[in-house]
Amino acid sequence: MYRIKAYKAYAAILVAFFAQMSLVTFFDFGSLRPNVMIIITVFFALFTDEKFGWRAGAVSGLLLDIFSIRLFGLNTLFFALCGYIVGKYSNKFYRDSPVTHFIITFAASFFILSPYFFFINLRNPTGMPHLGFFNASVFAASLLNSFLGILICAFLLRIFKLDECNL
Amino acid sequence: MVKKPRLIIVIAIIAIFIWAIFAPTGILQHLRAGLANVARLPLKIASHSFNYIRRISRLPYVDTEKLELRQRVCELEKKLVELEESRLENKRLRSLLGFKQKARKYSVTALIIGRYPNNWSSIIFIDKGRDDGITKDMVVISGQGLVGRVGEAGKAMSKVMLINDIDSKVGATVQRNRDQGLLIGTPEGECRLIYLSLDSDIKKGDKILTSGMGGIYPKGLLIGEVTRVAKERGRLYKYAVIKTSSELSKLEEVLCIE
Repeated sequence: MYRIKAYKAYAAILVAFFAQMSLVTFFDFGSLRPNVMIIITVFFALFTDEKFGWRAGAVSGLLLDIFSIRLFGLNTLFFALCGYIVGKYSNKFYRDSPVTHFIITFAASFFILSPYFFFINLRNPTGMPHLGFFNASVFAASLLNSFLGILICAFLLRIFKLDECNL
Repeated sequence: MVKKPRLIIVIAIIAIFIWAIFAPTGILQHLRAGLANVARLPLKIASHSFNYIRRISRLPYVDTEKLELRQRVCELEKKLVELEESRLENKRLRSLLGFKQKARKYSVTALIIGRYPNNWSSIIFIDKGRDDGITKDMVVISGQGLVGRVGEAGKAMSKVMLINDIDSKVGATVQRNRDQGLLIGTPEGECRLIYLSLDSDIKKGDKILTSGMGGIYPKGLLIGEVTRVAKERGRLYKYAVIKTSSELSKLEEVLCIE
């Protein structure tokens, strides 16, 4: 397991959150915005274990829930679950590889965004959007997060000085 | 033996979340608003910094923009004179008919300090709260038109639900033919005016205003204009896609009115 101090990880989550709320909102890719909180949850879950993974996910999700006006706890639940699952199987992946970051970020984004999408649209007066829109939004958003995940994970790897020797 | 305290913690966390889901909305909102207030200052600093950088990047286009704005100001000044005449005439006629004047009670300007990061939620955060007179369901407008309403009012920061949010519903009317409909937000982030009757002659370019129905939004606020009219298969009404007069993704300042 890699050594990451808990307070540094939480500080990084907080910085990512403020960046998400202010800087990232300027980046609009056809009405899609990247979700840095998913990427950072995946990163910490991947480089620690399921115990810290679910905690990092819970903190990320809780921050999003505090600033939402919808059902409280939805983000916390899915982010914590995602962090736990990624953390539990993290030792099965080649963690330094950008391909791993891409695939896991994509899977995590899909896992988190899909139920949220359905929950949001249950109350849509015009009915559930068609499958094409699901693909265009959830799938596209997950793909966007994955590409950005490669860059952010590479950046965080340098910041936290994580490599196979740092055990 | 070692696992018991951990089990208690897990049960306590689950119980807190179940309580959070089913708790009376007021308690949860106060709690959430209180926690969100802590982030007001860092959000304000971050958003001001990025807005400053964005303004600097627009410097090369300032001259052209200045010329266009000068022309627009001239046109608007002419229109203002005509509107003032209509307002005075309206006032005289209303007093003749004995209508009661409804004066706006309170308004406060606020800066936008953040946006909710979800792709399907259109929520912005403003730097004013209960301490500045903001209350829940206060209407939020910009210089161009309707923006949304206050969803949650914290002590020093508030959350505003934009009109293109999926949970937003605004009673609206077509200015030209006075057809009534319901303006909703869609997951795609656009506004649609639904429940228009099939024989409505609404067309592209028609202006949409608030109808005053529902008790939240006052009558007569400009929402936007129609870009497309269509009928969904299986529905017994037409709908119109509305381009909002306020650029909801580029707002920096808003006015909250009661």
